Amino acid sequence: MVSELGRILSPEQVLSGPGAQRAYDCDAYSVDRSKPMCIVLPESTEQVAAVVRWCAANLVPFTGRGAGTGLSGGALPALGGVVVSTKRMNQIVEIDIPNRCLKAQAGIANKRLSDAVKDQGLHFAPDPSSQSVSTLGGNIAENAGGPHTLKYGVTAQHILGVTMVDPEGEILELGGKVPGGPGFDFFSLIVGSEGTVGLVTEAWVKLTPLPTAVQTALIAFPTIRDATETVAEIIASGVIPAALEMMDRGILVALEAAFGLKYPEGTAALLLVECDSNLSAEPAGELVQREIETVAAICQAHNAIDISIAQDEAERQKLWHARKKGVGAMGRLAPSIVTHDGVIPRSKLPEMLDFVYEVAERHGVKVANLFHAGDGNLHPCFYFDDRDPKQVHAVIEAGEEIIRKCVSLGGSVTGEHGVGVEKQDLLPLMFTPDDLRLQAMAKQIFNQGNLCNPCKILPTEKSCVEHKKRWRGVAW
Amino acid sequence: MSETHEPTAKEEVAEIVKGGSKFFLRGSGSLKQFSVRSEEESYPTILLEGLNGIIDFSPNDQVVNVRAGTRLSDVGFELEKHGQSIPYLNLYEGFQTKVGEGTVGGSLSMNLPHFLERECGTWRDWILGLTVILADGTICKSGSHAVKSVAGYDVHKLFVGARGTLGVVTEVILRTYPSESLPKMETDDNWHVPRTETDRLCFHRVTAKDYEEAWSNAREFYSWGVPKTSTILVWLPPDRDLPRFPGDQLIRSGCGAKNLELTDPIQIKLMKRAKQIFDPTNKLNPGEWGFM
Ligand SMILES: Cc1cc2nc3c(=O)[nH]c(=O)nc-3n(C[C@H](O)[C@H](O)[C@H](O)COP(=O)(O)OP(=O)(O)OC[C@H]3O[C@@H](n4cnc5c(N)ncnc54)[C@H](O)[C@@H]3O)c2cc1C
Ligand SMILES: Cc1cc2nc3c(=O)[nH]c(=O)nc-3n(C[C@H](O)[C@H](O)[C@H](O)COP(=O)(O)OP(=O)(O)OC[C@H]3O[C@@H](n4cnc5c(N)ncnc54)[C@H](O)[C@@H]3O)c2cc1C
Repeated sequence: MVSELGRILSPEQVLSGPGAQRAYDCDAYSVDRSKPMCIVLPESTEQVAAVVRWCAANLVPFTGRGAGTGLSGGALPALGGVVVSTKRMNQIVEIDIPNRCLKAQAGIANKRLSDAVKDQGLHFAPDPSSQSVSTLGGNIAENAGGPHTLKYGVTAQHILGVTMVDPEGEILELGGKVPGGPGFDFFSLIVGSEGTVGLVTEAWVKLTPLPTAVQTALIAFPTIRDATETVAEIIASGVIPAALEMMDRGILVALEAAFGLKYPEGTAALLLVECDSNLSAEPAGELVQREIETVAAICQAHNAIDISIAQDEAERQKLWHARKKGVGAMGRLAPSIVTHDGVIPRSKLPEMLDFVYEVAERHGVKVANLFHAGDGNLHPCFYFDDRDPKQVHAVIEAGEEIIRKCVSLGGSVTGEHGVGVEKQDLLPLMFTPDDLRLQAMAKQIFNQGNLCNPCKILPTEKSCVEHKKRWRGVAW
Repeated sequence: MSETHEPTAKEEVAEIVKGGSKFFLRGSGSLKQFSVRSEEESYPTILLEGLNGIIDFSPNDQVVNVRAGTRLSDVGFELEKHGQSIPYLNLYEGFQTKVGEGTVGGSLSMNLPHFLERECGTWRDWILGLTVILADGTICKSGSHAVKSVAGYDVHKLFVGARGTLGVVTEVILRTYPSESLPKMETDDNWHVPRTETDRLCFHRVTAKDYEEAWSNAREFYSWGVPKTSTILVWLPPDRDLPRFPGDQLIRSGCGAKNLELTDPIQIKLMKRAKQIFDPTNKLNPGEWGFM
């Protein structure tokens, strides 16, 4: 296999051997692992197509891989075979400023897209926290979100077209510079399909004007309820902040321990609210000022004990530390952390967070919360010692209860980390067998032989992954 | 005149679909003239207007769950009580159709260009989930009430713009927008140009770079231009055509098979494959895309 693929590409574009196999046996969800037979590093769409045609002809499974930061095992080569890495496909192909779009190869890091057009006052809006490394292809496959998703939308809203190698090795071009063409909307299906319908090699992405005015506030609340009710009310008021993130006391304790960051005495939760505007006609500054004042008034009415509004960019960065450094700080609290990803309708936030703490207490596990509150996207984070089987068990039980509650409130088992192999068992909580058949039919449009990223998403396909440890959620 | 079914519940739709072999689907029927199918064929019609009403609306979540046969104006009216809307404008003049009279299911099935697209997106951005009756009569759903979810394939988006050829949409979960923050629509217009009864409405969408030129081509006709999305709505006499541009799109009304000319072989191949999987006996809206 290695020599045949080496002939199709070049020998140095094929990696094999125990070291390489180990490096590619999982993504950032390291609970389940499976070794590929080899890894290929194609440089162009044609090379990807050649590899896929070879795999299809020889019935060898293949799995796409970007930066491997996925959090649900999407890039895990479940049946071995070939991992197709986009590492060498990291070029911008064309920048079209008048049409506000650019075309790039799938392996480019998310942040490089924005960096390339910063001077023109534009950016690629999806901003997953992993954006300095996670790739365009990985973002498309996972339909990644980020703190600014609330206002700007997830990846799907920013993809205009894709070049994809389908599971038979044929090159498809779908969509393009002119959005919304007639015909079935296939690329809406491709976005978020976790690499199971083909390998995306290039994409046209939409470029969004950078905000011309920004106001950022960090607000401290004496109780969780005060904070969660504020979130629901901000959304209901009609203000759509660019970001609306929440951090609870567990995170603040970690931030203080790790970085010496201090927050007001008696704070049970912080909200980070950012309002922005890229209007040029109407005075953007005034609009954003008005919005942040509305937000502040709502916070005040909910007993805020401190409202800090950034006066300049340096202060803004400082306020964001509470959000951006929170994840890293958590890592220092305990040997293991498991972060869940569930979504609820946002008005249910007060009820849901009460439930999260209640469950944690009942199971005797510690939980901290840092999440996209405005979207209702929870990330309860359990920290524990994974050498103690009792604690591991409690964490699993607590996690499942929380995800079940999300579904019963009309939400979803995953807001941004995907199903992968991690949540296949949980999909039936949301979907009946008929609903899942509908999903299987959609997948079948592209993938009939099941060689392309097998054993993912659909519960009917999960049997081929042997779960090593049965804890859900992942350690960041 | 062939038979018309008038179901009032999704279970009834499922029974009807299961029991028959070919059907035309109809919301309010306002966009019949955009259809590509030939007029000679006649099959039983399933009229979906009877499936109407809001199932639930949570203003605080900005999410509404509505039956597909509900009139846009009725949904708009209910949402507006809470200062919200679907950013599909309520326009009552200037169209051959009575805007606002159309149904939610019909509108998302057509997914025609609209005026706030640049800022607010389209049906594919608003739709969070739906319930659909497949050609074999199965009732399935996709998506959820959550504004953000990556639980499995976004199959609901496949029904946006599918013109009723993949399934019968019965319920739709949509994100709503605060009416106050909706942008104003900005258009170019040539309303002073007279138009006649026989003129056909036609959309022409081009790249931003080509917009000025495309707009100047439309100038001699009664037309509207939406510079933000480089889209031109023009009422053309039946014997006139517009010059085309690379990568552009054209949709017409009232010219039969010329309404929609899909030429991309990849798109056509995939559509045929999807149809084969979803509706192998060509039961739903036969002829709608011409080539299927
Ligand atoms: C610290 C940290 C923070 C994170 N923050 C966020 C966040 O804020 N929001 C969020 O949504 N996610 C977040 N994630 C998850 C992860 O970064 C995203 O899912 C990201 O989109 C994955 O990109 P990747 O390039 O690493 O993809 P990989 O992990 O390599 O792959 C992910 C999936 O995409 C498929 N794939 C990759 N490339 C292609 C391609 N070219 N064609 C087809 N399929 C392909 C793979 O097969 C796999 O199924 C975070 C992860 C970490 C570790
Ligand atoms: C240029 C233009 C712009 C418009 N802009 C607006 C606007 O901004 N605001 C506004 O309120 N209205 C607007 N309209 C009108 C609105 O789009 C139409 O009234 C609506 O799209 C059609 O609804 P209908 O119920 O009449 O559909 P029909 O004409 O009955 O059906 C349209 C198509 O959808 C199929 N279909 C219908 N229902 C279903 C279903 N439940 N499941 C599956 N398939 C189905 C039909 O078979 C048919 O193929 C616009 C119309 C045009 C032409």
